Parts: sequence; C-alpha cells; structure tokens
Amino acid sequence: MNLNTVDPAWAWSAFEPSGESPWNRAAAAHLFRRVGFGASSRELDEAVARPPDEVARQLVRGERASPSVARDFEALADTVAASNNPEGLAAWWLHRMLHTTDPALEKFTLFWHGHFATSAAKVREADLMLAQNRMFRTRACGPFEKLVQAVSRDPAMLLYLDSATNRKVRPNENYAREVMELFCLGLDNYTERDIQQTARAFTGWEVRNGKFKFNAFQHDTREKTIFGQRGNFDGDEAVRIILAQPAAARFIALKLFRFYVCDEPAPRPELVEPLATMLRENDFQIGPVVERIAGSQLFFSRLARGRKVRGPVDLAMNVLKALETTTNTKRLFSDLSALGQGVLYPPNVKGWDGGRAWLNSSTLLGRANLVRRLVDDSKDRFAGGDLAALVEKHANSPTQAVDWLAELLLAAPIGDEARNTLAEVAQNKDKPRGCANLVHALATLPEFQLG
Amino acid sequence: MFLASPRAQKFRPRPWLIAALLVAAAFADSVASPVRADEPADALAAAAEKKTAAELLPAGTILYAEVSKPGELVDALLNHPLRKRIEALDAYRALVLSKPYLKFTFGVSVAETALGMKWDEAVKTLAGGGVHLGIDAHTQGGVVLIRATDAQKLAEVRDKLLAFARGDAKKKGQGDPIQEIDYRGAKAFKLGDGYAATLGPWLMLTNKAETGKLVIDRVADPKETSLGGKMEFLSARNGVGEKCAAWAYVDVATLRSAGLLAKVLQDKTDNPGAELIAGGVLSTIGETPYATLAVHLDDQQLRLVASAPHDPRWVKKPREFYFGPNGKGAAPIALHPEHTALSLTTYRDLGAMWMAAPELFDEKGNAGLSQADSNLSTFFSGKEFGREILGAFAPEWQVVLARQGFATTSGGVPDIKLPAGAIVFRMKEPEKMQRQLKVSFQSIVGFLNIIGGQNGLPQLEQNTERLASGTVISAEYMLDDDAQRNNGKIYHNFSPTVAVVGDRFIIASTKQFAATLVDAASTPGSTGESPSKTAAPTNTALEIDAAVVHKLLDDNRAQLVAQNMLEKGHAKEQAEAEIGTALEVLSWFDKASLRLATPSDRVDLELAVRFKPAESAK
Repeated sequence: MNLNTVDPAWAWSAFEPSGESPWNRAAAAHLFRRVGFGASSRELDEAVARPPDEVARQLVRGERASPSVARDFEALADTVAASNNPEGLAAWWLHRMLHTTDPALEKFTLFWHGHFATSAAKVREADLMLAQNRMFRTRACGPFEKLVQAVSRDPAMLLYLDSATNRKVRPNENYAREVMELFCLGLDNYTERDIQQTARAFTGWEVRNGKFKFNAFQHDTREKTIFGQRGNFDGDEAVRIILAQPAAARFIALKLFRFYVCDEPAPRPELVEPLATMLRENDFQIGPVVERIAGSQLFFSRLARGRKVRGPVDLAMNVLKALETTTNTKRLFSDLSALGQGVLYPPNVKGWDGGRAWLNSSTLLGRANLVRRLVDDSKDRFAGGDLAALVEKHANSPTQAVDWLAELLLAAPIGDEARNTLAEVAQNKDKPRGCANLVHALATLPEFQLG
Repeated sequence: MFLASPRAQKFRPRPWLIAALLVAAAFADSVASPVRADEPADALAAAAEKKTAAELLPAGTILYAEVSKPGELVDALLNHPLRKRIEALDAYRALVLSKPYLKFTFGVSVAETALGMKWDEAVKTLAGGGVHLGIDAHTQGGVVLIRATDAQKLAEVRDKLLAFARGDAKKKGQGDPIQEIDYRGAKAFKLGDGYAATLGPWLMLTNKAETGKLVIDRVADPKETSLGGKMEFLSARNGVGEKCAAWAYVDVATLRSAGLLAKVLQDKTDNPGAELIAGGVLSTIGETPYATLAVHLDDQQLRLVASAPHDPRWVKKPREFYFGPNGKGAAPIALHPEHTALSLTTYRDLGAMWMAAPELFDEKGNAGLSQADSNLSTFFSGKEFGREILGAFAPEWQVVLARQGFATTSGGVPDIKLPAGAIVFRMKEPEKMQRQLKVSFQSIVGFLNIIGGQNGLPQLEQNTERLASGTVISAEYMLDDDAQRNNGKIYHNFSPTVAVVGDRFIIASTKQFAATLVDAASTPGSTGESPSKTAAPTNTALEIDAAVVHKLLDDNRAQLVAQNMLEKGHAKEQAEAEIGTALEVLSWFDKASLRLATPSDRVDLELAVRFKPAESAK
C-alpha cells in the first residue's frame, strides 16, 4: 500500500486499532507530535487508557484546555509586548507552546503563521505581531473565509506586503497576488486580470497609527470583474468570490494534508478530495477537517508515521515536552532562528518551505547541538529535577532508558544495532552525563529528524 | 626540589580531606625533626615566629592579601544583623533542605569530627594570627600563610587527621597519601597537587614547590629580601589608618614592567566612553608604584577603598579634562530632589575631551567623533559641537535619575515605568548660550516629530513655562483619542524638556522632573563651590538610594516576572517568588555610593554599601 494506491474511503475512515497498527504509546506519541508538539510519558499513559477517537477529538478541540492558563498567557504577552521587542514576543510564544494546555491550538497557530507568513523583521512592532498572533489563534479552527478576511485587515500583514496605502489611482497588487497564489488558490488557478481586479477591491484598505482604516476616498467604487463575477466588490466580497473557486478547497485541503499527514510524495487528487469536499460542505471550517485527519486510518498508518521531516520548532518542542523541560525560551528562539525557523521571523511571504529543505549538513549538526545544549544547560529542569532522575524514574537499565526515550522522541523505530550502541552510550558511571549523552546520541540518528 | 612519589599520585582524596590534611600536615613535627644539624628546627621555628607574613614572602610578590583577624571576621559575619534576615528568607529555607547543602553540612561535620572542634573555633585556633596570600612573580606560584594561636592544640589535631587520612587510605587499599619532604630543616608535605609546611606558628600552603622554598629561605636566611622589607610595601602598610577586615597590596610597577597592563595602558583608545569614565585613573595606573584595597565591614556598612599614589603631573595635558588643572577639579554640589534613585556628580570637561580627541583616541574613535560632530552641528546652527557647544558648559555636571509618578499625569500610563532622568550643566556664559540651546532644542523636537511621524508615534507639542525661578521648555506628546492603543506605550515615560535656572541648564526626560530640578536648584545651599574642592577634591560621586530603586523595580514587577518566566522557564508562581526574594534582599540595603577622590598625593576609589537597620527594612 502506498499513497498512489490507498483507497480514499479507507484512508479517511475512523482509525480502528489492529495488530498491524495498534493503539499504543507509540501511536499516541505520533498523535501528540503531529497535532501538538509531543507528550510526556505520563500523558502517553493517560492517552492509551482511552479510545483513540476520544483522545484525538479532545486534543484537536482543546477540550482539556484551561481558560485560566490561557488568560495568564495573554497577560504575559501584553507585558512582554510592552517592551516592543518582537524577539521577546517570539520567546513568549515558544513559552506558550511549551506550557500550553491546548497544544493543538498552538500548532494550528503555527500552521497559519507559516501560511500567512509575516515577518517582524519588517513589521518591527511587537504589538502588531501580537495582534496577528492572537487573530490566528482566535480564528484558527473556524471558517477559513473569516480568517482570510481578518488577515486582509491585519495591520502587520498590510505593512509586510506594502499594502498599508492602497490607492485607487494606483492599486497595489501585492496583497491580491498573494491572496490567490499563496493563501487561497495556488499557482495556475487565476489570471493576471483577476489579480488586478481584486487589487482594486482592496483599494482604500490602509493602516494608520497601527490600525486598519478604510479610506472611502481611496476606494475604487467602480465595477470589477473577478473570476467572471461583476460588481462593485470590496475586499471581503473579493475573498468570498476567490474561495468559491473549486481550487480553493483543494488548495487548503492539500496544505493541511502536507502539514498533518506527510511531506511527500504529493497525494493524488482523489485522496485529498474528500477533505476538500468536507471544507466546501462545512463553510470551510478547519477544525473538523483536522479532527478527521487526526482520527483517520491513514493518519495512524505507516504512510503517515515518520513521514515528515521535523521543523526545528517541532523538534525542539518534542524534546522539551517529552522530557518535561523548563528552559530559557529567549535562548531557544535564538537557537531556532539559527536553524532557520525563528518564529515571527519567516524568511519570506511563502513562509518556511519545510520538508527536506530543513536538512543540510549544517542544520543536521545544529539540530543535534541544540538538543545537546538543552540537556546540558544547568538551568534547565526536567520534571522539576535533573534529567538523570527523570530517566531513572522510568528506566532501570541503559536498554530501558533507550527504549523509553526512543518511544518519546522518535517517530520511526530504530534497529537493534543502533539500540545496542545507544545503550553503550548510556552506560556511564556519571549518570547525568550518561543520560545527556544518550539524548544527544538519539538526536544524531537519522530517525530523529522524522516526525 | 619537592618530589612526588608515584604511590602518592594514585590517591584521590576528597576536597574536604585535602583541606583538613593540609592543616594537619602543617603541624606535623617538622620542628622536632631537623634534617641538618646546623639549622635546628627549633631555631627555624623561633625565627619564623618573629616574622610577619610579609617578611616571609619574597620581594617579588606582586599580590599580597590578608585577613588579619579571621576570628573577628567570622564573628562579624555570624553575628551580622543581615544573617537573621537571610535565614528568614523562603529561598534560604529551601536551600538548607537541598541536597547540595546537606552534602556540604555533612562534609563540615566530618571535618569537625576529625578536627575535634567546631569549624568557627577551628578558624580562631588554627588561623587566629591571620590568613595571608601572596602571589610571586618569579615562580608564578601562590602561597597561603596561616598563623595559628595554639600550636599545642593544632598538634593534637594534626595527629588525629594524619591518622585518619592514612587509615582511610589503607582501608581503601591505597598507599600513604602523604609524601614527606625535607628542605633546609623544614619538613614539608605533598598531598595531591598541593604542598604544606610548618614554620613555627606558621602554616604554609602553596601550589608550587619553588614558591614554598622561597618562603622557607626567608626564615632560614635573614639576608634574603622580602616583601616586608620593600619601601613601597611599608609605605602602603603605614597608610592603612583604620582597622580593616581585609587588606590587599598590588605591585603595579612590576605588573606594568611585565607588560601585563599594556592593553589597558595603550596610548590611544577607540572607546570614548571608557576614556570618559576611567581616563584619568589610567594615567595613575601608568605611573603609580602600587595600589591597595582595604575592606571594612561592620553592622552598618561594607566599604571597599582602593588607593594608589598619585601625582597630578602624571596626567598629561590631553587628559586634563579628567582631574582638571593641577588635579583640583571637583564635582559640583548635587541637586537631590525627592525620589532620587541615582545621582552622579562629576568633574569632566567634555569640551576639552572632545577637542583633545586626536591625542586621546585612535583612528576609529576619531572617525566616530567627527561623524557625531558633523551630525550634531545640524542641530546647533552649524556650530562646532565640541568647542562651541560642549565647551560652553562648565566641567562640573550632574546626572540624576528619579522615580516618577504617573497618577498625576494627564497622558497614558506606560507598562514599563522608567525613571525620569536629567543632566544638569552650568553654562559659562548663560546669557549668550541659553538662546542658542533653546533653538537647538526646538530643532531636535522638530526632528523627533518627523521621525516619530514616520513610525506612527504621536507628535510632540512644545510649550514654554516661566516659573518663579526659571524657564521650562517642554515637548509633550499630543495623544489622540485612541486611548486603548496608546495606553501602556513606553513613550508615556517621556516629555523631553530643557530648563534654565540661573547659570544652570537642565536637560530632562520629563517636564515634571525638570520643574522639580528647577525648584531644587533654587533652594538655598544648592549653589556655590563644592565644599570638597579645597580639602580632598571629590572628582566623581555616585549615590544610589536602594529604597527608591526597590520602588522602581516594584513598579515593574510584572515585567521582571515575565522576563524571569521566559529566561528561566519558570511558572508564574515560581517567577513571582524569585522576584519577590530579590526585592526582599534589596530592601535590606539603604544606600550604595562610589566616590573617586584625589587627596594630596593619592587617588582613592571608595565603594560603600550601607545596610538598612532591621526595623526599618522594606
């Protein structure tokens, strides 16, 4: 069975554990890694004690999220943004990813941040980046049309795409082009004329003193023709018309597939079509589609597990979550930036390429070094204590330590030879050193790069 | 030469055991076991007993430090009022229950058992005559000399510890961990990488055999030159007026001739800031023979005084900006408005420094200043910034920071509450200068409005107010009706202002603070010559009020907690507890001050930290 032969009906049907694909700690770890950022050993134990569909549903819907924790994060964000340092805000977001009670929502937010890429390097205002981040979080699972309309008014986005002043005598086509190419339809699904007409619909959409402002004097009120529809459209109506194109649902469904299922190969259209249909029939609601993906046979099959190259954020967060680590997120932001994924600082409007692009000889070394730094930092705490104490709590021998950590940190199984080598690495009279060496050695494995 | 036996190298004693054994070994019976008949150990001991630590150290000692009364220092620390406050901290209670602390206390109790006395009693008995450290330039070794008060008691301790160590090694199947070595009638012991020997009441510990030999040589041969015989050292020692807890001497001339200070004594620097702060002191270091440091501790304060001989002629003309002509420049009387957190008064002739730039700074430094001169002249009607603007101010000036209250302001309240700051100059020709400076202020405000407008900041509106004693020209942000977006912004900390009162020209970060300083400058006693100008001129005086700093930090508690959470990964409660502890510790202090003064023949740098009495803390 492969992606070219898999039956779409089977693929998206509810996951039924079997001998070949059991519901166990490894399967739960896969679910938590993809939908969130990983899980601790205790969370995995709790998860396997419940049915997989219930775990997936609760995770995607954030049913176990604590509103008071979310409020604390919001208050902390306001405090951090007061210094107008976007890097501090990025550290705050990493802190939230690490300690959130709603990891799926943070993963959604990261997904939309990559989709509607906006860089603080150009925007420079921490409060605008925070407002956008909050907007992604608030609208993450809801109707996509509302999200695109909110993005179209978002000051950070308008500043980033130089659309802060869009005049009727000279419409700025940047935003209109990205709405079609990158946000809603993908290449080859629109014409230059569609872009020009859509740009006219967005004229007068400005940013003044950090706020969205509609300037009626600069709005082109003449008739426009977008995808064959004629009328005096504004930006919101233009978005509605764009999303009504058949390509829109397929484009978003494919993007979700790549984010939650696998990087490559590209799925055949029939495989993605059920997700696209679901979007069209449900007002482009994102949450239910992700819930279906995360509870599907395909998601728990070998066609999805270990079939994505982990981005630096996923990689670091998985280690930190699994080892119940508290760490300096300012430094973590700096490390992640060096590896190419500084949150709030995507490289361009296309966001991060992802997939194999994360890996080269330099980043491979850097990823292992990041893990080494995390386990070596004397200020980091693991479940409130040191790493050796945490490992000893769950493993009585070097071999058990290898198995326990591999289950938490690796999406793909390792061979006996690698397992024995790792056990030798763990064998050290200096137990803290042995544990740190073991985690570092795991981080150097090819399997560690997969999520 | 001390030689190590292979057997001894196999032994890996624990650190506490090394310390205890070195003490014990020092009191081994070297005195009773002379190797050479012509230098009996008793005579060696008697000779050593008459010598001071400085007389035992070689003349090439570049660093000497002493705690002359360790027992008193231990008592002072154990009975210090701060001790109870430290013990009352939650963080302290958590510390004493932590594994590392319990390990440490276990180690101490093992050592106490081996010594047969409590640790504080051991300090008084074994080191009652003082603890001294010397670093020798020639052998590049360090020596610790400890003088005991009760040799008999220590001999007993020695026997116990030696027996304990040897028994412990035997139990582990290891050889004798202590290697005995004889040198000129003195018996020395090698343990691990360290050496110990006893010389009468002296215990000598050293990391180099050659350095230890130099000490023994000074006991055995009275003709050997010592640190205690050096004129410079004697002069420095005599200068220690009052009793101090610790004292140190550095042979600056030797350090200089060895090239160790070459980097800090370069002819020219690329760092104007460093030159401004330390230029004159570097001139002193370039010529002075030695420097000393005295540490004073009592219930009220901790005081550190660094001193060095100084001659105003050592300061070359380009650096005259620092101490003034003939070294007589003195800091002005400080304005001290309410809620002052920090006050820095100084004598620095900024105009003279700017004009001496070609002699003071390297190419990079000069390029930076030229660029700044060119840019700044735009705001000062094309005048030369160094000569015509900075040169128009007297060299005595003050920087002052104070906590500001936001409740009374009509604008928004910033989330990050910064202190108000000001710099107070005196104009040489007030009538001529104040118009120029007012116009320049207008230009700068206009420039800020253009830049601010491009960045979405509100505009600054200029106002002039004539008070009874002076004029205040302020620039306040014009806030629009979007209070929600504007509230919390950091710019609410500022309303750039200049003020003129008499010959004083004040540049302040807020209008309120400028007005407060105008009032302060008008009160009797705020003008005239500094009283320190005639006696021992105070070149620079910095004073920090811990209570106000505490309030400033407390104003920004949420920020500090947030930073702690992000930097340490702490939960909110944990971060709040840590910041709470830090603020609690800060509340124990009253004031901190730093004073650079030039009495007749030396430079003194004094750092003092005053503790708040327990009842008034918080």
